Amino acid sequence: MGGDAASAAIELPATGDAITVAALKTELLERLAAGEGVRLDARHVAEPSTALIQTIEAGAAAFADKTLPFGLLEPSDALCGAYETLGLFTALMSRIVMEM
Amino acid sequence: MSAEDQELRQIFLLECEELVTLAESSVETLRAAPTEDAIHALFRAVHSIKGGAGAFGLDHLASFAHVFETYMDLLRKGKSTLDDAAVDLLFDGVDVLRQLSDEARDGEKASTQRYEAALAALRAAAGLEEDAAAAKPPPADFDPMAEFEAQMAAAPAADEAPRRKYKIRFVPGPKLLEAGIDPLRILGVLKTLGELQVEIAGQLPPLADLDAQICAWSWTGTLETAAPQADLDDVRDMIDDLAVFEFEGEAPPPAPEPEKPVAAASAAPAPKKQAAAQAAEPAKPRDKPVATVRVDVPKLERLGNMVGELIITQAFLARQASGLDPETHRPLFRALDEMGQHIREVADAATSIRAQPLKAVFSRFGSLVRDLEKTTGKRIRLEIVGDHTEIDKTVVERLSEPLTHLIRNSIDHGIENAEGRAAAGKDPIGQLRLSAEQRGAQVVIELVDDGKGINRERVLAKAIERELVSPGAMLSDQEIDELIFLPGFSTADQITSVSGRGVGMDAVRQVIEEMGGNVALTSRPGEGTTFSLTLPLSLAILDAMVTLVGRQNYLVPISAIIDCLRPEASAIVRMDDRGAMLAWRGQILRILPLATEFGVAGAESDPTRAILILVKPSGGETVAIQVDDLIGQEPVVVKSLERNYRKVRGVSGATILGDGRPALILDLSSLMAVDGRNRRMPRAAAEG
Repeated sequence: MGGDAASAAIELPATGDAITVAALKTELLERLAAGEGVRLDARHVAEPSTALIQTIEAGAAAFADKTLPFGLLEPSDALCGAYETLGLFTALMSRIVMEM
Repeated sequence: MSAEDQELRQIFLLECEELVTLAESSVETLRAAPTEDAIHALFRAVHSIKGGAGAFGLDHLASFAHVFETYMDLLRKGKSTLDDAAVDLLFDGVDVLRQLSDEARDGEKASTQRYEAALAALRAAAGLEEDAAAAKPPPADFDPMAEFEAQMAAAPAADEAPRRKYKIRFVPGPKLLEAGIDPLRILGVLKTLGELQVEIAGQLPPLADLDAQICAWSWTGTLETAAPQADLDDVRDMIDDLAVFEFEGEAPPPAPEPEKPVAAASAAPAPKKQAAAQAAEPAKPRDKPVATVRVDVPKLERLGNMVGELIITQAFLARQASGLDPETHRPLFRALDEMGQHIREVADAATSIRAQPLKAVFSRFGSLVRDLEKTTGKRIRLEIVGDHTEIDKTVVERLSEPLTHLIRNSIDHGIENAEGRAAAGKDPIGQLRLSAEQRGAQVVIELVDDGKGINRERVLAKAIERELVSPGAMLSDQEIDELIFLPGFSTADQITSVSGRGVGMDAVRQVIEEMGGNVALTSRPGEGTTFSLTLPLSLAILDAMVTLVGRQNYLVPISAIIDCLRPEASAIVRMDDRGAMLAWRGQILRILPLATEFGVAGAESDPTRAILILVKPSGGETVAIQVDDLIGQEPVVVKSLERNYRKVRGVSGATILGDGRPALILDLSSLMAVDGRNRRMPRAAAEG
């Protein structure tokens, strides 16, 4: 995971296991505390999980509450499929941001 | 392994024991009358064992359960026939599951012979290759979902089958993710079955509070699929108790009527109607499990002890208040009454918490009987009745050994072989009936066989040969039968592998009596033998009659009392060899003066000036116990005399009465069994 700088995108893990999901939560909370928006680079997500998507969605709500930007960059097919399977396709559409 | 993991492992092994019992009872049901519910119950039990064993690294158990489950799946889907051979295979499988579970719990390695034989047989029946991966223990990172996904993906497509629409509801429980089952993958599997439409519900907690290992969402929706309902059952079984997964099939639209010539219009398409009606049947909801909590036994014992203290205190208060005027102290007496009622209810509740169904022990005997059938070559039909009857957990745990001995004994010595039964005009299959029922504050367990009965001539000859009975003794049939309970008595000329190994019937009686119960026996030559074990529901609390003998109190269990009387002189019959006897309703009863039995000084010796309590322990003879006076009825807390002093024949325990005095509780069976022997109690022990 990890971005190069605080303002850089956070790279989502390839596998959404308990450890990587916990690390994502910590990183999101740090960004939130710093009052910074975040972009999640979702290109390499190969094995998403409910836990990962819960964390992304809880993060999206937390950043929206503070009116901070939050977005998913280039979600992988696997992540898109997972969002769809969970019945969250509309939510996914509202999270995707385009890199300019 | 951390202490927490150890604890979880122990909890799993306890659950495993229950699951094996459930599995065995399902196989019993299948043997009697195959039902879909029993097949599913067995599959789920084996599946749960596999999952838990895999999680705790119990490789042999997990891999065996895996092969067993594979075979069960074939039976469940009707791809294998459930005949007698299959039932035997299932029984063997359950036996091995129990053996492996016991090994994991006790850390002892049993023989692998049975395990290997059952594994090979199940593998062959399941169509698994000899060297298939299934034979190997699952790897440490065993992923039950991956295996399940592969299994579902490998299921043959059912394109030709009509599609059916199901309403589904999926609510993950808090442990689902922790168990390695991701809702995403469950929904993914459903997608592979057909067209899935779901709506998500549930509110995520704030990010800071989010526990990613708990799924906060749930789903409802529809699945349109041609897959058989068994596939949805598979999904439900996979989730097991970790989530709610419900599905209900909607009736498919009626099939279009084929164009028919007018002349054929009256022919009703009955089979189609039946099919539609069948399809409209909702899937049977699973029984909701009763919420339970596991409690350490020492905590239960502490609860029982405190209830005992409450009973003693209440008895003390009642005694103190007995000297007061009830009119002027009416509120006090009312409060005492209410307190007594509440304490009795608390005591009943505490007793019921400790109670367990006898199924826990009875369920093991199916396997025992099958083993004995093989060893003896006899065919036996075991009928189990009333195994839901509950009794104190301690009793359940201690019953296994004596009942095992009685069953071995019945099959080895009681029930004849096929030739013997044919000669006696009996069914070639021997009947053995094990039953239990609650009678008041007691549970009566009976073992009835239809064998040849006790050979009294042989028993008596053996007893004389061993100098247990004098050659000229005149014994009644019942007294001869009772000789088999004498220490070391055995009529087996040869020690067989089944019984006659030195653990005699005296040991059976001793164990039952130690629990405050008794054993009775009735036998009819050529017809069979019945053993009746009477046990108290609770080992802790007893309704007793408080009596006075000299200056000491003795307690008689109320459940055994038939009558209390002060006899007329004409009712006393003097017999030279047996002393004073009581003539009562046409019977001559032995009188047992407790003062003589226990060497109490200063007691009334004349029965006409004393009180006679007529008692009849279950299955035993009626005897008149002579005491000086009756004090009253009282619930008492049974304390072990053996633990605090030593075992005393004729006494099952001690208690503290409401006035603070110690008292002994009579063990009627042993008191009556050793008539005439003087059991002197050291005064210090009797007085606490």
